[in-house]
Amino acid sequence: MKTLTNEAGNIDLSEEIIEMVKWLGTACGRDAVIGAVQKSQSEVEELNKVRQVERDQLNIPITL
Amino acid sequence: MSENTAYHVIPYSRDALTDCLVENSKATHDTVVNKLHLTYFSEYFTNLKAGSIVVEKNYVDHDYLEDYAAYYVRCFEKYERSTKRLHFFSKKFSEQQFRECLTDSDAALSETLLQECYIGFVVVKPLPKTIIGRTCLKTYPSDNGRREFPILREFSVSLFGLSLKIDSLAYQEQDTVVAACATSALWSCFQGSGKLFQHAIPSPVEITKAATRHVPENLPANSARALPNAGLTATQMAIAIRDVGLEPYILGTSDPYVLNGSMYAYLRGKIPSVLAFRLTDVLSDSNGSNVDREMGAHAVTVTGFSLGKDKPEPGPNGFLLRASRIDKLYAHDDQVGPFSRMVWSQSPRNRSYLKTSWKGVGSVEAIPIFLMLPLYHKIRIPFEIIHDAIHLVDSILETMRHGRKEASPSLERPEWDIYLTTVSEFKVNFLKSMKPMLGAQVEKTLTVALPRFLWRATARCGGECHLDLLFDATGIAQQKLLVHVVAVKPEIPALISGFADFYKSRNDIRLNNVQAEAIFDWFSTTH
Repeated sequence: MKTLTNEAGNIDLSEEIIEMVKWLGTACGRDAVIGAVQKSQSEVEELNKVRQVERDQLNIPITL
Repeated sequence: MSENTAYHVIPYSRDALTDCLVENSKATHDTVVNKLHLTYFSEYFTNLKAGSIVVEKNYVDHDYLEDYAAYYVRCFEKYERSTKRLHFFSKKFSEQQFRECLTDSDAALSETLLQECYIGFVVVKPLPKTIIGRTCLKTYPSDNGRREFPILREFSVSLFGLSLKIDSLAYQEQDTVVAACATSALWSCFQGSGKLFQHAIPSPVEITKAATRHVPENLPANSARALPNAGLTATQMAIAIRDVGLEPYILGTSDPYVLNGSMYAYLRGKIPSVLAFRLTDVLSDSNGSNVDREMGAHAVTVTGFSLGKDKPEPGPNGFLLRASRIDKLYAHDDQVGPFSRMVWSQSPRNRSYLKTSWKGVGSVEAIPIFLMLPLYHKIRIPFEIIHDAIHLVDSILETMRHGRKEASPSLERPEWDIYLTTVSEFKVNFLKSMKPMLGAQVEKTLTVALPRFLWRATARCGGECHLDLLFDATGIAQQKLLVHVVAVKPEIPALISGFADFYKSRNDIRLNNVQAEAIFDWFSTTH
C-alpha cells in the first residue's frame, strides 16, 4: 500500500488504513461489517417505503 | 409628434405595475391588488432593481392563441385574441430615449445597453382574473453558489427589431378553464425538457386534452370533464408526459431526505420535476391546540434549490448526502410566481413541511406527496439504485473508520454528491475543475468511451474531491453499471480496496447489491 499523508503532510495515514483493513480480519471486524451491511439494507427498505406512492395518492385530485 | 400606438414606456413602481396589469387585461383593480402575484412580482422587481417598463401593446402569444382557439373564441362573451407584453429593465429611460434606440443607430440607449439591463417579460392575458401569461424572468444571483437553477435555458425575445435574450424557464398562471395547477406545472416542466430532449412543447390546452383522455378512477372526487378543467390526477399527469414522448417517473416524497436527494439529483441533470403537495391551514382551536384544515392538493414545477446549510444533515445511518444541505426549493408556483421560495420548516408537532407564500387563516403548510419527472427513455436507471449502493459502501467504510476504538480516525467521513449528468457535461466539467490535479489520469478520462447519460457520485472530504464514480444511467439494474473511476486522492480508494480484498476472501458476507459489488470489484487488487 502506498504511503499516504494528509494535507499538512505530517500524519502517515497509511498505517491507519492498514490497521483498519487488519481489523476487518478479526471476529469483531467481521461481525461489525455484517452488522453494517444489515443496517444499511434495513434503512434502504425504510426509504423504499417512503419512495412508494400509494394507489389512493395517484387519484388525489390536484386542483388548487 | 403623433402618439405611438405600439408601445409605451413608463418608470417602474408597484403602482405602475398594478396599473399595467389592470389596463392591459379585463381584471378590475381589486382583482389585481388581491393577487399574490402582484406582491410577489413587486418584491421580485424591487430586488432586481427594475427601473422601466416597456409595454408592447399588441403581442400574439402562441400559448394563449392555442387556448383562445380551443376555448375562448367559442364563448358568448368576446375575448381578445392578442395579448400585451410587459418588458422590464433595470435601467431608467424615457419613451423618447427608447424611440431613439429604435430609430437612431447612434442613440445613447443602445440594444447592447438594453440587453445588459433586461430583466425579462410578463405576458398579460385579456381575461377577467387569471391574467398572468407566459413569463420569463431573470433569476436572483447565485449568492456564491448557494442558489442554483440548473434548468435555465435561453429565451430569445424580439422587441420591435431589437434582439434580446433572457436565461429563464417560462412560467404562467393557470386560467382555471383550459388549465388547472397541474397543467401549468407540466407546461413549465416541458419548457425545460422540450429543449433538453428535443420534443415539441405543447400549449396548456394541448396538455389538458392529452391528460384527460384518461377518465380518472375516483369520479366523485375528480371531474371527468376535460374543459373547463378542474384539475388532474397523478395518473393523468403521467399520461400527459407520455404524450410528449417522455417516460413519467413518480416517487413518494413524504420525507425531506428523499425529496431533496431525488429532486437535486435530476435537477443537476437539468431535468425539472413536478412536485405535488397537500396544503394544510393550521388553525388554533379554543384550547390552543392546532387543528388542520385541508385546503386541497397543489402542484408546482421545481426549478432550483438553495444549498443553505453549512454542512449536510446526516441521513440514514449518518450518511452525508450533499443534497441534504438544501434548505429551500425554488418553484414555479402558478398561484404565487416564478422561482418562488419554498422553505423547509418543522412544525411544533415535529412535522416537516414546506413554507410557501400561500395565505390561510392560520399558518399554511405544504406537505409533499410525490415528485413526478419527465425522463428521456434512455435514462433507465433511477437515482435510488445508485444512492442505495453508495449508502452501503459508505456504511462499510464508516464501520472500518471506527473499527479501532483507540483514536478518532484522521480521515473524515466523506460527503457524497450524487446526480445525473451527460458525458459531454461531465468531460467539460472535468476539464475545468480537475485537470490541474490529475496529471496522467486526464487523457484517459477525457478519451474514455462513456454512455450519454451518467450517474456521477463524488466523494468529498473537507470540501475536497477524493473520488469520482461514474455509472451508466442507460443500462439495466442487474448489470454492473460502474463505467469509470477517477481517484483524485488515495485515502478512500485505499479503504475501498482494503475491504474489496477482504470481501473476496470471505464467503460468509454477502452485500446483495450489484452496484456496491461493482465498486469493490473495481478496486480489488486480486482480479
